[in-house]
Amino acid sequence: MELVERYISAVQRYLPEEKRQDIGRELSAHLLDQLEAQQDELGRKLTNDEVAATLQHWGHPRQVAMTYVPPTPLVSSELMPAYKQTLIYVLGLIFLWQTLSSSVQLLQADYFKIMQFIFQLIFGFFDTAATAFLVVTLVFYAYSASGVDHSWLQSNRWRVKDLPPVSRPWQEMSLTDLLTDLATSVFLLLLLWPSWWMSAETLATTRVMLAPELQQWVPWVSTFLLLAVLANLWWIIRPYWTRLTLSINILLNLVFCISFLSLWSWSTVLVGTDNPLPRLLTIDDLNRVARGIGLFAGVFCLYEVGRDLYRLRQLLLKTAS
Amino acid sequence: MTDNRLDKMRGELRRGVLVLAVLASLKQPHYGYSLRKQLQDAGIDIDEGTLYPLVRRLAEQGLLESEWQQAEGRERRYYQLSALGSELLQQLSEEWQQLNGALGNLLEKQ
Repeated sequence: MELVERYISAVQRYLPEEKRQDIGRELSAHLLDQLEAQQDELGRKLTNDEVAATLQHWGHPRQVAMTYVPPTPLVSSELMPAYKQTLIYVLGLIFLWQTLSSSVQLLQADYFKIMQFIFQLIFGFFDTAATAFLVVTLVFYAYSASGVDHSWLQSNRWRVKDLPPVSRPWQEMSLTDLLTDLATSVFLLLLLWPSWWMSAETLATTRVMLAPELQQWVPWVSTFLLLAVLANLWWIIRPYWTRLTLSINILLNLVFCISFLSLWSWSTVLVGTDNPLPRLLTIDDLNRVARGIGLFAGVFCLYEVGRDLYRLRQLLLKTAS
Repeated sequence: MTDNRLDKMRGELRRGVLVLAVLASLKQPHYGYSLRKQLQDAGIDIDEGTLYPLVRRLAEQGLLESEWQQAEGRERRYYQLSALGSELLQQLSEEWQQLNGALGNLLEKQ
């Protein structure tokens, strides 16, 4: 019965220390009973091959050990929804932060190196995201393993009346869209107010600035950008398109559409400073690029206004019927 | 319906009933292999990889009592219903009878 001993010993290796002895002893009794019954049936002693075939039928030692002591998941199934939600928000915020920090570095650089920006964004994000993933998982693992009651997560204090009146699939806002809009608004604010994040020395070395005729509009546009940031933060908590949120989005996009298209229609968006531009780059080139971006962004905002007006009409018609 | 799906659903159907079958069989003391034989003879063929860990779990929950005994030159662990297990078996039996009756009516209507 050397094979049986080897088999049990292999199973025990996959068991926790405190259970090895007892489960091994019990398993041995079960196996010997089964082999004895087989012998009685055949009327002779079993060969080594027959014993091996029976043990093979029981399954791999690790598999047998797992039936006695099932592996516990890192995060319990009750905590899984909260774990996934936390990861989505944490990773989303990291992406937002990385986009802003890479953009700021791009603006501070002497040359616009787009590939460097993209690589910095991707690798920077994955570097921080890996750490965040590990930390969030470890926190949830510790919470799962602690055995602390987490029934509070399945809150009973919700009310049917508080559920959002969502009847169409598009009424659920996409978290990616929300974070992108948030990042864009913050980025534009930083672009309009370089004194917030640039030192006086760096500011003195800038090579271009907004045309003086456009400077007067900066506070107005900034106010709406700030409103867009606040609206996006609110919508991250309640991500549903309703008549109110659609109306706010239409208003914001209309203002941005007019601002961007005005930028496109303006002949001089940027002017040079006392600092010379890099070789092969003229202020006219930069103006062409800025106006092009203005046209593209303006048309995109116009599309969003049209889309949201159509959606608002759908909701109003539904209410009327 | 494919054999695979049938096997899966049959497994799900049997899983809950197995606890009841094991508890009912252990009104009398049994060791692992004799319990399996008794269930087999009653028409419930249960894989050893399922039965033995299940018996152990029920014992850990206090529903079974166990005792090592020497027999035929070897040691065996005998399991038997505890007082708590008997109480639970009674409640589960009533539940099963009720469910079985209701299900029987439903299936007869088909």
